[in-house]
Amino acid sequence: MRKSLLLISMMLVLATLMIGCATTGDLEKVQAQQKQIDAKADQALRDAQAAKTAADAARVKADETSVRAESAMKAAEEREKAAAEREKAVAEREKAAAEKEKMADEKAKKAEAAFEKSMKK
Amino acid sequence: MLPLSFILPDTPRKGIVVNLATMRLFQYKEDGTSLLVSTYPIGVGTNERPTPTGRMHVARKAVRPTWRVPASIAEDHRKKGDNLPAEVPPGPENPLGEYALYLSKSGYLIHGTNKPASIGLTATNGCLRLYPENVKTLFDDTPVKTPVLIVNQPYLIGQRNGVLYLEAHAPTEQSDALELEKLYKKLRTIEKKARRTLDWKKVKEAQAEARGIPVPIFELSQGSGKEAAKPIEVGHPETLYGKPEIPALKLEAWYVLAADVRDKIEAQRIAAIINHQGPPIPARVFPKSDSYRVIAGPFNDGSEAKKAAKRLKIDLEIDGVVIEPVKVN
Repeated sequence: MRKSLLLISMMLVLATLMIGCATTGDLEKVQAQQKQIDAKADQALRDAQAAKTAADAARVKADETSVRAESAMKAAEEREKAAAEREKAVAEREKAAAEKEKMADEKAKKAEAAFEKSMKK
Repeated sequence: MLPLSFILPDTPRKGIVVNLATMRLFQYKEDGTSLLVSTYPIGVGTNERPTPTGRMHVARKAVRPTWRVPASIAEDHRKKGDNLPAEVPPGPENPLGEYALYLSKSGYLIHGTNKPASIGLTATNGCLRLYPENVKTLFDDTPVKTPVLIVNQPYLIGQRNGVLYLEAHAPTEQSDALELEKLYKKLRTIEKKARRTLDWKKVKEAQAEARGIPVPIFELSQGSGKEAAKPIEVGHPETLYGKPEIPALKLEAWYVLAADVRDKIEAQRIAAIINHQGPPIPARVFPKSDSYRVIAGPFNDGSEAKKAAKRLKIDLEIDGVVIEPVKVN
């Protein structure tokens, strides 16, 4: 366990170093490249989402009436639910902070497990 | 903390000795009247496919070996959607690396690796993996017929300069009670011979902590022991050996969006894991206004990008999105 956490920590340092030191000019160039690739990533995500939405829309169209009725009921239920949840929100904020810390720890463990699994032949 | 000393396993000091519990290989070579010992960290078998213990020898050796995929491993990969060929030729996709020493126990090898990050893990299907640079040295220096002894000793006792040390590692469930009994028996013998009482509280603490480094527990004759060696502070090197290289960004290249997360540490962790796959997949973190993206690449073409996305899915269960080039040549 300690050995694996040390390994993951060392790799984090590695990743941080990889983000790199560079001259101002190099940095600006890299940032500009990142921006353009990011835009392409946005487009790829939109395309993937559009494909998913089209598939969903085809299913919905087949049963439009019941979906509309269901949506209306759901909307009413959602409004009631939202009102109830607003009351709970204050108490849950404190609980969320503790949960966040626990999740961070679990994410680290999950990542470690995924990494160990990926190291098998 | 990095260990600079290792206690030798309690075995005859001959040929190659592997201690599974400490994940270390020891090579003994006679040099005239001296006995030279070399030691290397290793990766060993999983709980499902453990490395066997026992006596064997090096039956044959091969440079740039071909990996003949066992049926059971092929089946495991097929279930994940990864159809392996019957044989994997030498190259970056070959998990045996550049050198292999085939053991007399059929199906088991000491070999290199295309996943150096797996050394120190229980990740193999029973074989013993070494870092590429270590397996080359071992290969060149190990004749065929060299005896190989594989043991599983989580508790090691050694002495240096009049001080008795205990090196404790986490035992497997199966070996714990038996190995503890062996340890206590040895310590009681030493206690009897020295005619002084051990600090058993210290022994039990060292055993429970299982730090994996030699811990001083006893002076063999009162007043004779020199102080245990203090840790040495080692400077962080500027260049890390074996660090994955990240190629420069290219607008005409393909990429794979591997993750989009809110937490910077999580993004860096994912990028590091992807970078350390075997063969490596370059990955880096792009900060955005409210999140961090992990982008794998650059890849030369769509086919290479899709292949990388497939690897991410099979090996890491990441659903990557292929990104087309910003500009086409």
